[in-house]
Amino acid sequence: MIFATFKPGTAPVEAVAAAVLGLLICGCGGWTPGAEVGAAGRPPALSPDYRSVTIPPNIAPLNVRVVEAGTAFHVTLEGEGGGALVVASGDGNVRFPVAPWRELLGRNRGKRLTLRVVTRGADGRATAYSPVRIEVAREEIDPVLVYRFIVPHFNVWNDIRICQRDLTGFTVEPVLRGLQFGNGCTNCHAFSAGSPRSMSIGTRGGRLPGLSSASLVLRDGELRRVKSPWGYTAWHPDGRHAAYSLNRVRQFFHGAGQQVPDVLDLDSEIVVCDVETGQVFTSPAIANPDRLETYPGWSPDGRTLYFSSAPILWTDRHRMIPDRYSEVRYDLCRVAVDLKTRRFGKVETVLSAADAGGSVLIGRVSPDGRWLVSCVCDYGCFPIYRPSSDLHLIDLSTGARRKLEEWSSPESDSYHSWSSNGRWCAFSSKRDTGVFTRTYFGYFGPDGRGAKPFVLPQEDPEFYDSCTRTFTVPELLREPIPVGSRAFGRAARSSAGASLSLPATTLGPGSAATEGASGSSRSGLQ
Amino acid sequence: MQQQGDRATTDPAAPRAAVPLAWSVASLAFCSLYLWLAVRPELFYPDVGGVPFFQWGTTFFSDSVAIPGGLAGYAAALVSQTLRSGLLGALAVAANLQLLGSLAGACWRLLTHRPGTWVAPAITVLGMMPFVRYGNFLPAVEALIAASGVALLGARFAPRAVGPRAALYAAAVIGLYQAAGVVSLAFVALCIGLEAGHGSGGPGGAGEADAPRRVDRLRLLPIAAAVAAALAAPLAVGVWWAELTLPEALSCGAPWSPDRPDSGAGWAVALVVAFPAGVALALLGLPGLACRLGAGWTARVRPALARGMLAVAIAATPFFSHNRDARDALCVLESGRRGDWRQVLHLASRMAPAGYPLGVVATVNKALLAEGTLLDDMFGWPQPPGTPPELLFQAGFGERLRASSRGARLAIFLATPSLSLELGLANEAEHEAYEAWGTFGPQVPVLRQLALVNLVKGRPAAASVFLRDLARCPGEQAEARAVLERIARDPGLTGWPYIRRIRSRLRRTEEDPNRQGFRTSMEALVAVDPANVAAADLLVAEALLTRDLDRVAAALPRLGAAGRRRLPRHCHEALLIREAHLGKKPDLGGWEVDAGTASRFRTFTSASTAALNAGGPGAVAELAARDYPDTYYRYYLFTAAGPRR
Repeated sequence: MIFATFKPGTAPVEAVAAAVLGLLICGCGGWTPGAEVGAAGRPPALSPDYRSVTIPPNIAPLNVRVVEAGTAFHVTLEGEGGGALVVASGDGNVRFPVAPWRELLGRNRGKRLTLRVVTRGADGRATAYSPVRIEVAREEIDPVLVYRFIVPHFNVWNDIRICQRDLTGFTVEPVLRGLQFGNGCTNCHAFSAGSPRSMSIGTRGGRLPGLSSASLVLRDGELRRVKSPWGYTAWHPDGRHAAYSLNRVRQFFHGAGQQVPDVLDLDSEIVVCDVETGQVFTSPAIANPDRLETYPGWSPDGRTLYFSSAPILWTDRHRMIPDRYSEVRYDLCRVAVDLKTRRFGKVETVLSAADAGGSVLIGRVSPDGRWLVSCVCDYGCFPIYRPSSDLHLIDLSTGARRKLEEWSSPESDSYHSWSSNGRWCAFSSKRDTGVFTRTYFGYFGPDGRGAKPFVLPQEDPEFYDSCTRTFTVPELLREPIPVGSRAFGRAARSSAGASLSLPATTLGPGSAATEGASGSSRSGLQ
Repeated sequence: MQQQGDRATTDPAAPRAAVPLAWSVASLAFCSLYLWLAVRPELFYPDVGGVPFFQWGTTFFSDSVAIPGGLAGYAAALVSQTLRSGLLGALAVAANLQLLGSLAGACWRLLTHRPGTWVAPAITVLGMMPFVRYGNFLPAVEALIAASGVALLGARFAPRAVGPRAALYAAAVIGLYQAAGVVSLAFVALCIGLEAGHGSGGPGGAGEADAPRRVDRLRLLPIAAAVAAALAAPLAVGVWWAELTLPEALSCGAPWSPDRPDSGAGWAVALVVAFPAGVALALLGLPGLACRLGAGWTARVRPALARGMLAVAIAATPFFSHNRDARDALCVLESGRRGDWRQVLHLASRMAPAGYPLGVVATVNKALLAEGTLLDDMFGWPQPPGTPPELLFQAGFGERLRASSRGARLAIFLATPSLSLELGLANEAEHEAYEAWGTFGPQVPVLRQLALVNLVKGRPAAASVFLRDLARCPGEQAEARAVLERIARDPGLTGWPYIRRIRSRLRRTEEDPNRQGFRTSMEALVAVDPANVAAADLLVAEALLTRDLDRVAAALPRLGAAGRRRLPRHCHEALLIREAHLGKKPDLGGWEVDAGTASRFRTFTSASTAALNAGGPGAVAELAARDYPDTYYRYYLFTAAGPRR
């Protein structure tokens, strides 16, 4: 192995050197273990825990902190297909330079990386830890992640941000900040089939007078403000129609137990908007006055609408918190939709709450149409607040169902988004702390098996150690959002905008429930 | 005499040069001592915004400087951290004011060509005014320092050619607005002064004062550029670039921001206005006025007399404008923050009861609770009628946010450690911390409370995140690191008595989330731990406050279960009222009672009957206020309480 002195920020030089030498090198002038090295007999503790994870070949460097005692750290990352990165560190923080990292991963698609850690103790003795395996998948992940960056739970908001992150590097750009429109609230970003060409973001006015809740709709480069707030939104693959929920949301707080905030829908229904004509339509199939319908999701062919549905267990829809709120469990349903004729078929239950043993929420079908991943939690419609929430997998070709144990944790695992090739899912998890939601990525094999997921890599290995904000509503995109934050800010501040004529339903115009009905939950979504 | 003084700058004689230095040293010493001993900078700490949130690291810095006025705000937040230590804070504030005074003095000399020996000390001392009103207006001070500093640099280095100078002024105005906010636009006044033909020392260089008038007209271009840039900056930088609303753009970094507490705002505005006004005075040539009054002896004496009077007036101004009510209230809060409950009661007893902010009421009640005398003495202190008990005791679900008075709301929210957690209401403590975060942005007490809540709830990993974030705040690192080490040694924290104690009394049940309220919470707490004497006391106190005598009687067994043997005075008074008014004789078996309480009630009953017959209900109220101010029967009849005599 050849060592070269490495200065931070000289990655291009290293890449050239690597190309010349035929070996990826990232050295440093730091400590190098000698011949006498003791064995720890176990793998090193790493933060984040990247041990035995499977990663896409286009992911940003997995910068990591070695959580072992030592005065010097020597880390080697070797590829089965060739190449190696060597990093020495004085404090255990290991940062891999981007260009050699990419080169290493490029050489090792479908192969294994081996991470070796040697530490030097205070007594000067070197200790080698058992190697850590990292699998590199063949298939790439969609390169852009859009997420919401907020405090763990809130009733009063402050500086809410929707950001987009380049997953191949560390660049983060704001899509929209609440501070751009009077410290307003922004939520419910949704895209059409992993593309930002048709997308929407919900907003709620902040301190700006006269600014009501609205949706910002971007379609083919044209950004419009729609005065009707959209709830949980699913864009049809045609990029022209969007199904969204109207929810009468109630947020409340528990005086006992681990989880403080809770959310329920006193009433909800789903409507479909043709954004080209501005017409909104629905059907009793998805707007049954006796049921709560929410979390719409289209099948990849656009012919079927999946959604969660639960019977309304209370007669007083204006009571602060209904008596039987903790008995509400949603079934996962689907209905055939013909958008040309606007006809809906018969509602079919894909997975009942009784069979699932809990509330089935956020059904999302894989791009190949075969698999469906949903959340299952003990009750209600807000899995992020339910530690019992886990991701479950349904094989739509056979109806077989199982809990995705590979991705599960004792804490809440929820909101998920498929990569366009169907091999990756981004999802929310509180597994590390029980409080802070982080975005995890899980590999999903053609056989329907998942691999151990990994947390969104950060440039600073200690980033998550002190990050008191959460990453929620992760959505994978094939390309960045083409419109800048400034344009979204202008649209959010504008009081102009198109009005949609909602159909006359329980939550439609003229209904007693319209007041307070909101497409957007006031609370933090997944 | 005036002329001699005015020429001092051109005379390099050492004795004369020492005069400004002496004035500066004197004003710095005066400010430091007054701030340290009278204002007490540590009293800024319990007030929200008194010591702005600050963290080391690039994230906080980049977030701060991204908004107009952010750099000055960042510098002010950094300097403000010294306020926690009284002496250091006093020195830091005084040094900043001294720097501002010195720069202002230099501007004065540049504009007027007179020494203006009094300018620097006057600005330094008068700059204390917002601080003696307990408003932290360091951002405005930093902005003015930036404005005058840039003006002096401009005077020294600006190009002579009019066009480039105009461009430079415009760029400086835009840059200052972004860095230091709207206050820094005072720079424009200085530009006008520099360009208004006041001198050969101006940016035009020597000899220009003697140039023909057309040269002066040419100077209108830089002035126009500076004024235009000042008018455009809030729109271009604030509204367009930073995407602020126009009111936000016109108030960023300014003391008149709607987010500021009221205290001292007027003084700060005066300070900001006084600065350009001083420049205007200089332009008018006021110092030369005395010289033009004539040759009489009065004309010779008057300037010296005026200067002497001015010096006395300036020195006396902070004393007379000192907001002592705010100081007393903050002293109470500060003692409460440190858990020095006896001092809280001592200091509060010296305050005028009418001036009790809600935060002081809550802190006094917490002190009484901690001292175990709440049910004996609480009506000897102001208890604003109609105020929800969770506000009076600073405990319970986030209702305090909806308190009407913003100042009280702010003070009560973050001033003293949460009673909720101490009682065992971890969820309420967590909720109120997040509400504070959402309302005021990140705050040190919020991070500390969230760390503690998560430790109590057995989530050490989450607590560690808050602690590491807290460790980036100046002054918090040692404590945060100590707790992190403790977690590393004992993740369950079973060996930490405080955590063990809170865990033993944690509320565990929730019958109905619709019934979230103070009483429900206290009932749940005493159900978990009957020995939770604070919860039992608060349960009875709530019944007393709502004048529900039957509940007071029904709650007495709770007090017994909590270990009380002696019947608290207010409970005894409530039972006496109940017996007298409702004919319900209490069962006092097993309670130690004070015979004096019953005897005093009998005296009141007969005296009030006589007063009622003689003067009606008003006379009874007067009697109660005069002779029985600290009794429950006064509160029961008139919802008035205190002061204790």
